[in-house]
Amino acid sequence: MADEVKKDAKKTERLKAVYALKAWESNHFQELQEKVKGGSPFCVCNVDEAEEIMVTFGIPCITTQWWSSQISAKKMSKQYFEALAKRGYDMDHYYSLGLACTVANDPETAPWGGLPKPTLIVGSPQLDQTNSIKELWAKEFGCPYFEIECVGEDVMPAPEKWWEKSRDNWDELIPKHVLDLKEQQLREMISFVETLTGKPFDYYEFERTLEVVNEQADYYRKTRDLCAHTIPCPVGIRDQFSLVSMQWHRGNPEVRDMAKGLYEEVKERVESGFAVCKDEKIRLFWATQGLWSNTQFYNAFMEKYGAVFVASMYMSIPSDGYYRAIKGNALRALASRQILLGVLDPNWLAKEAKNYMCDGAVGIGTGRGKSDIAIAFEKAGIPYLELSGDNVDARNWDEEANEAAVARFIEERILSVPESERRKYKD
Amino acid sequence: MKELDIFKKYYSDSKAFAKEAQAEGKKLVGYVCNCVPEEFIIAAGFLPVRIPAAPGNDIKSAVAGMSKMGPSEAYSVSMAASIIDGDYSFLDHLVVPHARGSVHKMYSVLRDKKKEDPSAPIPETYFLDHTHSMHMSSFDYDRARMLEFKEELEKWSGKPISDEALTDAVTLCNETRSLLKEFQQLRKEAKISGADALCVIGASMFMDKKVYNPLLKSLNEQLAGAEALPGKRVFFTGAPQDNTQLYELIESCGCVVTADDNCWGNRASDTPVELIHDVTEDVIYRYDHKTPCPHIGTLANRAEVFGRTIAGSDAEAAIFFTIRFDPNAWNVPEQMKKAEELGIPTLYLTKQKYPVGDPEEVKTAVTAFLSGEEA
Repeated sequence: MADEVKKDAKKTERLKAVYALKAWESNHFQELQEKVKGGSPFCVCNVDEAEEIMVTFGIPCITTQWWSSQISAKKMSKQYFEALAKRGYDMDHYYSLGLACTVANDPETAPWGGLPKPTLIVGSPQLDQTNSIKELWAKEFGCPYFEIECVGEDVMPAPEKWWEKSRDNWDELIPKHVLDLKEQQLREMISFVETLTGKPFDYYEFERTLEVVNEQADYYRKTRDLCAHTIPCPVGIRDQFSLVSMQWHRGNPEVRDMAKGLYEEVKERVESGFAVCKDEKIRLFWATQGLWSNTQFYNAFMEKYGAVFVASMYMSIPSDGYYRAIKGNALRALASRQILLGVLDPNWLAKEAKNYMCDGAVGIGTGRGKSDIAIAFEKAGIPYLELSGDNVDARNWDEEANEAAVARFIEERILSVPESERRKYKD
Repeated sequence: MKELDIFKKYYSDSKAFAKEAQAEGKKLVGYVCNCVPEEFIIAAGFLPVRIPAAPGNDIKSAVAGMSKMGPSEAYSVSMAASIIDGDYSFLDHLVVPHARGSVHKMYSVLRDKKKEDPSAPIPETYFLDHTHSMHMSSFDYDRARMLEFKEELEKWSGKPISDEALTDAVTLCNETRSLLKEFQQLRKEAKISGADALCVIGASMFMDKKVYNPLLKSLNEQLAGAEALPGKRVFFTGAPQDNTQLYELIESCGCVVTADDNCWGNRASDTPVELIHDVTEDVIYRYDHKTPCPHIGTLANRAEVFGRTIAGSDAEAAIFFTIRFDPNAWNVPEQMKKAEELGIPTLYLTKQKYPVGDPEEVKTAVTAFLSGEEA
């Protein structure tokens, strides 16, 4: 308890954008429920599968990741997974929380009373189980399921320094046959939705949707650059995590305007000299998926060491990954982004840690030896620490041991090096 | 039966036949999973050799750089470890298809290892991409990748694959499948144990089929006159069984695994290549339309195929067995319903280890199940 109090005291002032986003999401979901009651279609999909297409159709979307985060926030995962297990699905549960909530069928506990019946669910074989989960979910709701092929980063190595070409020359990064397949499958999905809903697809409107996505990405990029190049750090990593879901609502002008508001707020902070930690001495990069079960962990090293986690991948994904010049073929531009977002490239993560002028980086290992991320960071001249544990399951996270490991890392790998010798990055 | 002894020999040392053939000048193409067209490999003049996992192998020496495997089935991790450790450095080429997630992650691991250290004892590795969805565009994509693979084999051998050579290869592989179908019928009648059946079927993927087929024909003839083994006839489904440990455990409880549907068992020989149009197209069609792997297509389709398979098995009980991170696990509840609709009692052992972590626990559960008690 004493530790909790100590950590609470370290809470930093939160961005207004975080609250604005939460309010927008709440309003958006309630509006969606009203629209569906009135007969409007709606779609469930993953964050990078169908959103821009559905926005163009005027069909609201709920992304699996966002819905899962709402369920997790209500701490209902255990109860819902038990409901799923009663049906025989007692296994490793990655990506199945939305299905579990629907199977539990308990409007009293579900966020906002639960999801209404979707018009369709879109999914892909991103992982072996993801297709099965979406198919079962659609069956549970009694709605159609559309599967879109997943080709991309798991199979192809990310081209070297892809981020230098992904905005304007994405067609040089991806083999033609892979782009052809993805573009063709997006066309098949559009035809399926047209037949299902009777709504025509407006290609010009789709181009405008992608332009809004690009504008939104540009605001992220400008915000990221402000955060990266400002010492001391103006935005805490907890706020950065809380803003992740903004990038999951793409193509909506209201959300683009929120991204603009975020940029302006951060700019104000920078101009006024706001600091997450006034006594910032050490800048750290969080290199793997967020420690969602315990975001207070990141604040534990400020008081003693002036060590601040200044960044993770989450602000950088939309900054480097989302923008795609339309180049006369908006569907192909979208296809290119769905194939190559770059998030799995450890060299890109190391590039971002350098961009943020970090002294070191920390992440959770996989237990299968030194990770590719660790190798890439060390090669880039950035000290790297691999922790053990699970980023979402608090039962598999040893707080004391991991705090001690980070403290040791700071002392032995960063503070032991004279300040003038730190941040000597290699290409 | 000397034939069974030969199959057991080449099954227990899956590399032995290939090494003998290599000593006589044969070039070898290793492959992972059962979605790589052996017919193309044979027609190009190579001996195809399927790669199993190595249960119990010490993966520590190979573990660095395997973080990409992430939360994968230990089965695939073990396979990758064997390859990285140099167990297959004698192969001339290696083909890794876009099969289950952990297998295509394995390709990334092998590729990066080789890039990092060109002297690593990993054979030249070819990635055979394959979609998992069921759209027409997916088939077109897969067809193009298969044609590229055929061209690659032609480069490796330095000569084109003639239609005649491919037709001969198809005829040879179809003969193996046909003999294995006869064998499955004998197996269904409990003329051979499930563990021995795995050796017989598995050897077909390690040996030259020209040598294998006459031996299997002879074994089938002998089995036809054999007495049926005592014990309940059990259908096994779930994780791939590339070794006999689990079947031996199950059968030690007083039953016979008379049928299964995994890719090291009866599914290995499920459908022949039908020679209807152009032989290359016929081979491609077969590999795109064979019985689906547990992650390909839809749950509904897989449940339907499972229902037909178990209905034709004459099994008196069914054991479902999945390991951690096993995509099969999502199929199980629907498939258990299918078995129960047929009046076949079921046992589900979930989140198991590979190789089996606690043999006594499995034996206790199976024994209780077979005796009709709750496990």
